[in-house]
Amino acid sequence: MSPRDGDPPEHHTQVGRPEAQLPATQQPSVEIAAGGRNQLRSKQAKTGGWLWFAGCLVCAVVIASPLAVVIASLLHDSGGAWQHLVETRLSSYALNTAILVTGVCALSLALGVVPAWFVARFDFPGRPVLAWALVLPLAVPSYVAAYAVTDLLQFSGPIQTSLRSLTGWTAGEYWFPSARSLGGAIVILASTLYPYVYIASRIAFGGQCAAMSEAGRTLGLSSNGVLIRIALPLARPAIAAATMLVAMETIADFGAVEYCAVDTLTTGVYRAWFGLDSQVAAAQLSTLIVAIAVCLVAVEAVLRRRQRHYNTTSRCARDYRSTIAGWRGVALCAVCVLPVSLGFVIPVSRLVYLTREMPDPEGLGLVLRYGQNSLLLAVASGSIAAGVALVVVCAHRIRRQRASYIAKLVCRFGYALPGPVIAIGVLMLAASIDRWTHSAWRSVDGPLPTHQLGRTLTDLLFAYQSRFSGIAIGIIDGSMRSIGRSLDDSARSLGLSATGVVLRIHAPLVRRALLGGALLVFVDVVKELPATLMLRPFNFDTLAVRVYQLASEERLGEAATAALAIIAVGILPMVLVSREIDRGR
Amino acid sequence: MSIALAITALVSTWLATATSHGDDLEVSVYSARHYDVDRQLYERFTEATGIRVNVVSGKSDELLARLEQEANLSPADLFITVDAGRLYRAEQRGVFQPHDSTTLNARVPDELRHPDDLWIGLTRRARVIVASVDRVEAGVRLSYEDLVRPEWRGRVVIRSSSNIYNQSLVASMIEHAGPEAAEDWSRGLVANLARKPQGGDRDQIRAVAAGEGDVAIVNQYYLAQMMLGSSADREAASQVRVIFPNQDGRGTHVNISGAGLTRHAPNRDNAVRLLEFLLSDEAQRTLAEGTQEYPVVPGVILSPILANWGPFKADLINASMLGANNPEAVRVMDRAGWR
Amino acid sequence: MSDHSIQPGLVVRDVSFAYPGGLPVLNRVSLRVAGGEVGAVMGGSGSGKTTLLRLIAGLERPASGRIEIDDLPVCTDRICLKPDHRGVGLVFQEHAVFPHLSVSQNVGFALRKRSSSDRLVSVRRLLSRFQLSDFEDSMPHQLSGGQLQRVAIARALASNPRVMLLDEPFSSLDEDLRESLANMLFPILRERGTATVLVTHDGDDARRFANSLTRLDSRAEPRGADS
Repeated sequence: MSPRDGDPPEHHTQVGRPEAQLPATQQPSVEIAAGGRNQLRSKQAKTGGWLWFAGCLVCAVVIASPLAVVIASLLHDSGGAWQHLVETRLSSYALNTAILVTGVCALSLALGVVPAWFVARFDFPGRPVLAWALVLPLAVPSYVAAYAVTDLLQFSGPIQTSLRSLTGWTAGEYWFPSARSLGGAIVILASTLYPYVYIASRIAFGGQCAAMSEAGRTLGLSSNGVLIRIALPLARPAIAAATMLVAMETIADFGAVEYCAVDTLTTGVYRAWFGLDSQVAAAQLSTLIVAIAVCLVAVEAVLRRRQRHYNTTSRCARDYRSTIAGWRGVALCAVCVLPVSLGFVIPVSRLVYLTREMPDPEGLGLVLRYGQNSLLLAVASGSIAAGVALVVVCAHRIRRQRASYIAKLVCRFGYALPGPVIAIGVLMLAASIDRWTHSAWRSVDGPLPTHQLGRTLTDLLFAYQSRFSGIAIGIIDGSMRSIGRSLDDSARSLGLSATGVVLRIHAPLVRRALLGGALLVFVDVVKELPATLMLRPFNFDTLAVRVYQLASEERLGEAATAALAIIAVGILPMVLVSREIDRGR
Repeated sequence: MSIALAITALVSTWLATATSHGDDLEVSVYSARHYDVDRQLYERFTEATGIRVNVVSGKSDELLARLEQEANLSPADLFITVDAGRLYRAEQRGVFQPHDSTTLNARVPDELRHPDDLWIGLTRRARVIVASVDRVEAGVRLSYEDLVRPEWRGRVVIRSSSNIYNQSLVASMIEHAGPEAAEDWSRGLVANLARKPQGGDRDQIRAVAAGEGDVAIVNQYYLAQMMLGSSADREAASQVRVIFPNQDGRGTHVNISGAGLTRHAPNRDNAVRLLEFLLSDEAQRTLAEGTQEYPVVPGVILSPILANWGPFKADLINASMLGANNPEAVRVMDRAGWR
Repeated sequence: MSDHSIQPGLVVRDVSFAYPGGLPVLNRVSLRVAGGEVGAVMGGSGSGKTTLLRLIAGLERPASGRIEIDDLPVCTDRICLKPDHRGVGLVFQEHAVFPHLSVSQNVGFALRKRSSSDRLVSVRRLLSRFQLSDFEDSMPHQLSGGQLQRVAIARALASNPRVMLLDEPFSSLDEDLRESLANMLFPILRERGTATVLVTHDGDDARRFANSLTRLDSRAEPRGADS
């Protein structure tokens, strides 16, 4: 794995590099492109940046530590639990997980790429609204979507009931798709996760030169031909990376999957932990999940490398959108409306209906207070994640070592880990740290208030970073790659220190990506449930916790109020993200 | 700029929650019960005694893991959970200490508390059979064992085996009849199911009401809550009736929610006071009416719905047994193919 | 009025164009380039030079006017052929070489429907004429700007278009490269009888390479047809 990731190879002669470079007054001293590990680096780049490098390693260690702790517990004996698992369940967990991930990725591709192409390239009725509406399903937690959809579709739900009254059929006489199935889980998860693919596709398609598709047209391609032979291949690395993200989220999902009665590796972790009473079998399953996460992150890294060659010059004119009117325009509109309906309109309308029937019994005041807590956590986490991402990505940029490259990758694993696994690791860690500080302190002073760490939100914020900072890192990393290295070199040669380069060159240039990353982490934190349940301090409940409290008592109708609040909090960031995409064109 | 924002956010969250906990007047609870009525009771306790109640609610096993990890530095004074099996598990993990309160012991019957005062019941739940008003004749007496008979083929709905209430039911069968009998029963039940186990207890009731099945096994309070719920719920609840199983035999399976003093409780006395409050007649009545559960203290007035269903014979097995047999119960259900 | 049957080629008659919601860019512009000849188009920025090429290529549709290629109407008031059906080769300012395909795949792009051996022969021939044979399997990111420009030109030529449109093809090249590229390109176009439109802002280039000159005013008034 060459440390030279993400940047164009440097040759002696001036080659076709992206235009976003300054004509450097001082060329960097000798740069030799070689396949080997040791290369001469420009003199300027070799100095400085130690602080950032250290910061990057610290971040990586901190973020990966819950993971490491969980794996470390592998060293214990697990008794017959692992055996029992292997005998009865492991193969079905693995198979289900594989089918689930494949199905969700495939469906997300269909739901995300096609509308993105239409929105990027055409003007049709409804386009202005659909452009940002297609992003909205990300604001809906997967477990909420599962509740709403199964409520709608179940035997005693409104659809089947009206069907039966219309046709006179009774139970067993007709077949109706069940939401609580592997297929249902696939549809539900895909409908809330496709926006990742949509966003990546839109950015990719929007960033392509008009000239590319026009050249294709003059060379004999029809409009569809342009999509298939030019636009899609060029966008493929970005789309594939987004699909990996979707895969990771699917593996880590617990709420929706459990509700749909699908046994995956993640629900298996739960079962092993509690049903079979074996912490260690749970850890072993978690390790399997981690292995899969590693593969996914590795694949994504390879795809990103390929992407760098596809970066177009910033001088290139973007496409005009051609107007499609008449019934064809309506057809385009319909195709784009479908994903929004599936992932947003249908669940939300059901929730609105439910909340009017049975509002939260504790009233709006309580919901607002929980909302405050959710917001607090989300804002803090988003900001921290942006900061961490900046440190990690820039550190590798300044001093390109293998260590910082690996650190960057490691930070991304957390995204594929289920919340409970990370929470368990955080618990173990926090407890050890606590004991250590307690004994250290005691030797100095008298008895201390117990469990300092747990009384504040540190545990929780820590877990969130471990789980979600990968998103921000991925986004900022992608944005950083489009900045030519000679910018850095020129800045250094003009006297900026490494820190100066980061703060005054990098940060402003990736500002949009920083915001986008922070917003996505924000939304994820508002939706997060399992780690929040396990790690929060006293008297601190969030909206997600409230939804869980009522849902676990099977009072889904009453949970709808808090669920709608979660979605409402998430809408604004998603609209902002969409606006950023538009502006970034 | 975002760094500045992050720092401010971090500092403010820190300040917001790192309130001084140095004073004496508090008690901290890890509770797997998260009913709104619990919160009201805690508030009432605080009004009456001036002792602040700190609560973290969550899933029982997660709270237990948290307690274990925190060990002697844990801030929790009380651990409240639902299902006797979980109380047993907590006890096995050494999480409890004896409360040694004769007041408490006097109020609660023997089978609903731990012999060595490690935990004590707070409410009771019966796992009853609900039957379709239309398709099952009135006045019929049923047992759990009846439901595996051929005449019930394709007519039974029940939730997943991953649910602790079902696990405890099977655990009680293991205690009474042995693991093979329990496995036979599970297999027979699965063969009679109208649909794959899915959803919660309320979903089973709705399924019976809608005609997908004819009988279901659920906890009684879900039905009672539905009778007071939304119009759709009330409609569904009116389509079924309650049958207390095994009235001719050992009695209906009864589970408890209960609480125990944590081993390293910093505010032991306050915790005992809270327990005594929760077991007072008034609190028991509020609990029962709020959640439609049965109180543990005898003689407390029941909620109207429960009173209407009348008294029933309860299985007097000690709740500890439900926990002891839980791992075996899970294996039995796995082997029987009960999803 | 020349006799069209003697001189086939490109005829643009009175085309006008305005972008939606904007000022008119072209106002009744006419242009005539015979087969084998080069017609230069000059004008200040914003005068619509590139737009004119796009209209001829079929990437935009004129508000009014008529375009004929080899006496066949390709765009009238009633019907306008799509760009993939016009047989027009267009070389962009920014070369627009496909980054995900190799040089030979780029050059052979228009020949997809032919058999692969057929295609290979044509591609190789073009590559050698433009001195790109060494880069047959290279990827675009490995090439310099000048080399990419040659790839773009070879690509446009591969399908043997009747009309060739060149949008400032020499603007990023220095004098030597300009000279050698012109020596590679224009003879081929003359051989094949292709009518070529060369958009340039450099009067020297126009004088050297073109047979006729059309000026476009920034205010979109045509100054005249062929000189």
